[in-house]
This record gives sequence, C-alpha cells and structure tokens, in this order.
Amino acid sequence: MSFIINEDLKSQLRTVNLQLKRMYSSAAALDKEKFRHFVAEEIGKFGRLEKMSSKTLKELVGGKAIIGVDGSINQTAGSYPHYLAVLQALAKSTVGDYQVWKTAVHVPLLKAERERLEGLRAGNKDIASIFLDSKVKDTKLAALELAAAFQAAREMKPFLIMFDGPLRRYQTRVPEEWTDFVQYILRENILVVGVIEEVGTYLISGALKESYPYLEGQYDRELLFGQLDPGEYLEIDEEKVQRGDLRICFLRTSSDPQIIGLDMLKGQFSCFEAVSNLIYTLTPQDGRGIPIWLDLVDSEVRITQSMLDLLVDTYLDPELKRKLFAPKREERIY
Amino acid sequence: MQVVGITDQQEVWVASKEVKLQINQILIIEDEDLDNPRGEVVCTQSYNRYIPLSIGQSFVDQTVLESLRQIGYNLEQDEINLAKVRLLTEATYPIKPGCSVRIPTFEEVKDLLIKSPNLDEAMVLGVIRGTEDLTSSLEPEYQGIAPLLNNGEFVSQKGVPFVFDPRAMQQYPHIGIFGGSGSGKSFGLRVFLEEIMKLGLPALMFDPHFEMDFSDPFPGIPEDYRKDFRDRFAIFQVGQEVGVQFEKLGVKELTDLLAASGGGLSESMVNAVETVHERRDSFLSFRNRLEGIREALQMGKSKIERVLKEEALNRQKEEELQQYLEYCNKYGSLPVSTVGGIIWRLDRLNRSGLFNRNIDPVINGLQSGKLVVIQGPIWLLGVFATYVLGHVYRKRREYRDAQLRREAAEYFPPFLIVTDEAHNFAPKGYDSPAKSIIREIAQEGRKYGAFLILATQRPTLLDETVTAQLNTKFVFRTVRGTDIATIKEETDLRPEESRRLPYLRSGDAFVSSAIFGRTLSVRIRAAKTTSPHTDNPFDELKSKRRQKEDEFFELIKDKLPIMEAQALEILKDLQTSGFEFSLDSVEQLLEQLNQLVRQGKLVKENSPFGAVYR
Ligand SMILES: Nc1ncnc2c1ncn2[C@@H]1O[C@H](COP(=O)(O)OP(=O)(O)OP(=O)(O)O)[C@@H](O)[C@H]1O
Ligand SMILES: [Mg+2]
Repeated sequence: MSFIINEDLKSQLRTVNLQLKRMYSSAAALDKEKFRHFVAEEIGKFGRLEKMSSKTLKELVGGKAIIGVDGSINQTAGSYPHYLAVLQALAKSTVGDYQVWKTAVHVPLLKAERERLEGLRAGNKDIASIFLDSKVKDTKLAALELAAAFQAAREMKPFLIMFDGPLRRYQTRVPEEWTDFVQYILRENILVVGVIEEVGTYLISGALKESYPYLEGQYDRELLFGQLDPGEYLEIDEEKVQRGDLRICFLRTSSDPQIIGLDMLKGQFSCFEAVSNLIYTLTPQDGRGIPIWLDLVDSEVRITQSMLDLLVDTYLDPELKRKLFAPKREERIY
Repeated sequence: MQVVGITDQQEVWVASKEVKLQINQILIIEDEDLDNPRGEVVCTQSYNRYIPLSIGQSFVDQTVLESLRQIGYNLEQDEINLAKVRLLTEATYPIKPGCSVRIPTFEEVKDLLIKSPNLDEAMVLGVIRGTEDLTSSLEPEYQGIAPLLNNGEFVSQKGVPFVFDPRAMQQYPHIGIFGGSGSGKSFGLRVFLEEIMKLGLPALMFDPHFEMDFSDPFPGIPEDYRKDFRDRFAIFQVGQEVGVQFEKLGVKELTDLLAASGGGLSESMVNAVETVHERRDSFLSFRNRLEGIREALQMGKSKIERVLKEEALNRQKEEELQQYLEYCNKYGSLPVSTVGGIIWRLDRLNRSGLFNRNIDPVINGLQSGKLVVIQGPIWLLGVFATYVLGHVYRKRREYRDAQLRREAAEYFPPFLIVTDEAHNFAPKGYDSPAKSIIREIAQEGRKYGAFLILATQRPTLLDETVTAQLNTKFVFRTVRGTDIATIKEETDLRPEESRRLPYLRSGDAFVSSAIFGRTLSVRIRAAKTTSPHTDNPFDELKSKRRQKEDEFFELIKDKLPIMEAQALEILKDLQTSGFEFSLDSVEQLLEQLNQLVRQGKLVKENSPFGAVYR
C-alpha cells in the first residue's frame, strides 16, 4: 500500500470541499422560518404525526396482518459477466408466522441473459453492459418483490403492505404486474405504502426553481435535512407536483435529522394520516427513521457473503467455478 | 429445517424456525448423494437475531416493541433453533450445506430404537426421549404402553417406548444402574422388577431398604394400567422366614459369614475356625466346642491337670475337665482372644435368627418363577447373599453342566439377581463376603443363565471387575465428580451427555448399552406399584415424636404436680418403668416437661421452692 499521499491529490480534495461548500451554503443560509414559509406556500403543507396508543393501534389494524416487503442481492466476487448473483425477495407478515420467499439466480454468462441485455441496448453501443446488467438485475428483483407481495396480499388479505423503497420503482420496472397488483389492492381495500429511506427526489428545488434558481439540482433530502422537527411531516400538494397515480410525503420519524419519504397510491391517500401515524409509531425513537418491521424484514432477507460462497462451493463443480467465477484478483498476491 | 454453516463428515448444524429441536432427536438429512443419512441431535441452541434489542444501528425502545406486539408480532418468538447433529454413521464426504432436514417416521428409525423382535417377551421400561415427534407414526402395539409420571401425575406416553429384551443378555449380560441420591434408581429398579414379574422370570432381589413390596397400586394409577403382582413375588426377611442351615455350612461359608458379621476376620481367626469346625457341626455343637476351648485355654493345661489330680470331682465335672485337657492338647496354640472373637461373632449371627431358618423358601420361589425379595439389614444381607447366591448359582451350574454331559439332573431355572447398594456387596479395594460370588457370576454367569442387575449410588466404589462386565448401564442424575469420571470411563457417554448428568430430572437416564450400540436418553415409565413407606421422613419423625410425648405424658400424669426438686426421683422412676425416651439427665426431663407446657398440657408456676408443673 502506498503511504505517500501526493500533493496533487491533497489539493484536489481541498477544491472539492470548497465547491460543495459554496453550493450548499446557499441552502444553509436559508433561514428555517423563511424556508418553511415558502415551502408551505408553494408546494405543500406541514403537519404533525402522532404516536398511537396500543389501543388505537390494535383497533386500527383490527387483527389483520401488516406485510413488510424487501429484497436483497448477493453476488460472487467477479465482475460482469463473470459472476453469479442470488436475488431474494421476502414478504413477511406480522401475524401467523407467515412469509413468502421468492428467489432467482442471475447468471449474466447464460445465453438468454446476453440476448436480453442486447435487447435492452437496442443497438446503442455507447451504453455500458455493466449498466444494462444492473438494470436487468434490479428489474428481476422488483419483479420478485412484487410477486411476493402479491401472493401475500392474496393469501393474507392484510391491512397494509409496506415496501422498502419507492413504489415508483415497481411502476417503472414491472409496469404490467404493478397495474394488476394495484387493481387488486384497491378492490380488496389493502393499503400500500413505500417507505423510502434514501429519498432521491428533487421535488422542492424543481417546484421552486423559478423563485429560487440557486437551489437547482438539490435533492429534497438535502434541503429538508434538519428542517423538520421530530414527528413532523411535509405533505406535497398533488396539484403542484404531478406524480402520476402516486403521492409522496416527507416525514421526520425519529431523532435523526434526516427525513424519510412515504409513497402512497393516490386512491388511498385519504388514509395518509392513519398510515403515517402507524409508521411513526412503529419507528424507534433513536433509530434511523425506518419502521422496525422493515428493519426486521431487511435483516432477514439478506444472506451473508460467506453463506453465498459456501453455497456456490457446494453446488457448483469446482472446475466450473474456477474457470467462470473465480476473480483473477483473488489469486493476486499483494 | 436445513443444514447451515460449515459441515464435515461427522457433524452438521441444522437450523429450524418451525420446529424446536430436542436433544437426542433423530433427523434425516436429505443429501441424496449420501443416501439421506440419519443423525442425532447432540446439542441445541436457540437464538434471536433481534435480541438484545439492537437492529441495524438502531436501538429499539420498549414502546415500539409493545406496538409490534399490538399488531400481532412478538419479537421474542422470532427465534431460530439451532442443533448440532451428529451423523450416526460417518459420511464418505461432507454433507451439502443447505440441504433440507426432516423429522423421520417411526418406520425409518425403528431399527435404531427397538432392538427386541417380540414385544411380548420384552421389558417395557420407559420412553426414549427426543422421539415425541414419532408418536403419530408409531405402530399401535407400541402405543400407550409406557405412561410417564410427571410431578406426580400420570401422563400418557408420547414417543417411542424403551423396550429391553432380556434375551439380549445372553450376548450382552448384566445391567448397572447408577445415580445419586433421589435420582430414580429405586424407582427404576421397581419398574425393572415389575417387568421381570410380568415376564415370569425367576429373580432374586436383595433389598436393604425394605422398599420392594409390590402389593399396593401406585396412587392415582389409571384403571387400565393397573396390574396385580401379588402372586408373582414373595418377600422374606433374613432370620425370620429364611436363614442358613448351620449343618450344611462348609468352612469357607462359615468364615465368610463370621467375617461379615463383625467387620472382617483376622488370619488367626480364619485359621481357628478351620481347625475347630467339623463337618456336620450344628450351631450348638460348634458353639459348645468353642466355649469349651475358651474355658480350657483360660484355665491352662497345668491347672486342669492339677484339679483333676487333687480334687474330688463328680463324674460329670471330671469328664468335662478331661475334655478340656484334650482341647488343650489339640488347640493349645490358639490365642484365647481369637476364640473369644469368634464366639462373639457367632453369637451376633445367631441372635439375628440366621441359623434358625433355611433357604428352602428362596429355592421354591425361584423354581416357581417368582421374584423373591430378601430383606434385612445390609450387613446381614451381605452374609446371606453370599450363602444363598453360592447355593443357587451352584444348583443352576450343576444342572447346566449335567445337561451338557447328557446326564440327568434336577432342573433349576436361569435367574436374575437384583440388588440396590451394590457397592456394599462387591466393593472395590477391599474384601467382602459376597464379592467373589458376584464376580464369578459377572464373569461366567452368562454361560449358565445367571444375570446381574446392580444398582448403586457410587459406581466408583463398585468392584472394577464387576463394573467391566455390565454391558448395559442406566445412568441417572450424578453430581459427584469422581462418579462422573468413572461413568465417563465405563460408558460411551459423549462429553455433551456427561455434562448434562448433574441436571437430569429424577427418572431420566442415559442408557449406554452394547445392545443398542449407542447411548439413548430415556425416561423411566410410571411404576404400577408403590413402596409401602414413601412417607416423608420428616413427617415420620414428627409423628414418632408426638407419640413419645403422649407416652411421656401418660407416665407422669399421676405424679402431678411435680416440683423441680423432685426431678431426679422421677427420672429414676421413669427409667425403671422402661420408658425408652432418651432421658439421661434431669435437664432432659425438665426440657420434656417444658415441651408439654408449650403444648398447653401442663402449667408451669414459680414457687419459693423452684418451678412447679401442674
Ligand atoms: N421414572 C420416574 N418418574 C417420575 N418420578 C420419578 C421417577 N423416578 C424417580 N422419581 C421421583 O424421584 C424420587 C426419588 O427416586 P428414588 O427413590 O428412585 O431415588 P434413588 O435414586 O433410589 O435415591 P437413593 O439413592 O437416595 O435411594 C421418587 O420418589 C419419585 O418421586
Ligand atoms: Mg433408592
């Protein structure tokens, strides 16, 4: 390892720091009161969440299940296309010790995968295969997650299905399945919510770009960082920000100054208060703002890297493994 | 359920969410390449990923947990059961991680659990632990035959019965039953004996605790489980119904008896008995001879000669002295104290009634296929066992030998010998009368059809030669380190199992047996009968004390009022009246009176002359 840090690197880092500071100081300079004022004026309204009492909670849910849905990807050490990935999705119910697993193994080396990739590329040579591959993977995972959720919805008729991540993802990755799913959900009166830990939208800067051009390009999570009090939310006006049949809100559900996002179906938004309070109630005060149920599902759906390696070692012929999936890097002596 | 983590050819870890795995449970590992091997759970753990309550980086507060509970989810339930599973036969290569594991059906593991082809000829001793999941696939004949007793309540059989085929003892003879106080040895012996009676096997039980009576049904026993054993056994007390016929004793037997009655016999005593005893001596003739020798030796040869010469004697006296003279000539070298010691021991034996009876009832009992229970204090039982075992074993051997030589001989059946406190009968390190016969049966009994069932609290104190011959061992709760060490050495208990020994419930045992080829964990079934005295010893103490106090009160009643100053006088009176309460001093008498005051039977007043009891 090199211990001598060259001067050029140091000075480049200094420059980066300066640039970032300049960019964000304008937002930081926004006085909290003022900021809130024009956010409320232009784009939505603030409100307060409430922790539910045990009694209210029980009555609200009425003995029905809450389903948490999450997925995971584990892959062997090589790089595209010499690797193998295990995709898993889990829908887990709070009642009845019920869960649905969906699993797929993704092997980019296989002919069918290569063809699928080329189909996506549509002749555009400039798109890196690795980018397309990750899209394929994510599409597959979204499909697994949605399938798990759909099965759980049919079999459990739950009160609420809680996805880890934005609902928009399913809408764009697996639109047909999503449409079927939404139809079913609305018919059966099953609530659906997406809990977004890392909010990737820039709705605020977008909506305010006329009045506040210098905010351009800033993410909502950056702008809202520290702007909401614990237990406070910001509801985005559906007129002012169009998001198809989805609606989004931002919540500060714990002592962490970072906000989280909630995606709901427009048709179910009348239940926003119940859903957001439920999520707030299920979120540990000192956590990172995610309801505990999703945390549980998240930790359950993952397999460890060593487990994956073990499985690969067991079920794949050693020759094949060496030839196709052993990264050159592992043999390198440092 | 599936195999997780790193595996090898002997062991795998199995994780299960649905099923709680139990120690000793047998599982089938579905690795087809290895022919779906079977394994036994040797240790279990369960763990909860979420407790302590830190998930990811967040610490979970109680209110959130409570909310979770409100929506139907209890975090504490979300545990994963892990079990270390040892393969019953080593695999040729490691098991595949991730392959599934399932609970077998009875049929798939029957060969491991049941070793007796015919249930009618086998002893049903209990239930094999860890087989509860096989209950539903159990063949009907194996169901409902071994109810258990839990906290004094009968509960129906769950799991595969533990059956023991006495025929297997032909190849793997003798049984040891080890365990600390209260661990369930006596209870286990009772179950064994019930099964012995059920099968009509002749057996001899030496019962130093006077507890092996089978007349009373176990309290609360279900009606259909009851069995009347009253015509299947006979109880004899040494010196009351059975004893030894002095005339038939050989010198060896006699020295053994004398040794047992008084803590060993010195070389010179053995020598003396050998010289003095004559064939066909009766107790009286032997006793009189010894007495005469003692008199003679005490007088001394010269004194006897002088008296004979100088005094005018009647004929009887003269004959007596002549006899003494002869004794002096013949036994002059024996020390007087030696002869005295023999007489003392002989009298002790005689007082027990030992010589007034014979062993015919025992022989008859065995001949008719009964369980013969012999009761007596442990020292006497040892003596008697020596005699009776030597006798019946010889009878059986003679019959077998004659049979081999194709000669006619009186039939004598094969039999079992059962004893509690076996370390007293065949102790390690020193001699005891019964030891050599027990050793002989341990080593050769199999050839003749004589089998031992030996129970002891202290396996470490049991003769090693005998221990080594016990092919099946029941190991109950054992706390003492030295005994655990002995058990480890003498059985095939694995380290995990010997670690559990101190924590076994009463009635649970590991069975380490050459017949099964591996250790089984067993719970002994509920007994059908009960010992006549299962009273709590403290209740007994209390009632005895009450009784004595009442007696005492009766005695002093007419002496009231009693002044403190009269105490000594009254004490003397009481002592002559034969009252057996140990009242040796005035203080004790007064304490006794005070006790009655406390009970409100007397009133104590102070007067100028000391206390007065009214
Ligand atoms: N198989 C069993 N099922 C249920 N309870 C049992 C069983 N075995 C023993 N017990 C309970 O444990 C008690 C003590 O057992 P037991 O008298 O057999 O002990 P032990 O090993 O003979 O002790 P000690 O060496 O002191 O004589 C019994 O009275 C009974 O209550
Ligand atoms: Mg006992």
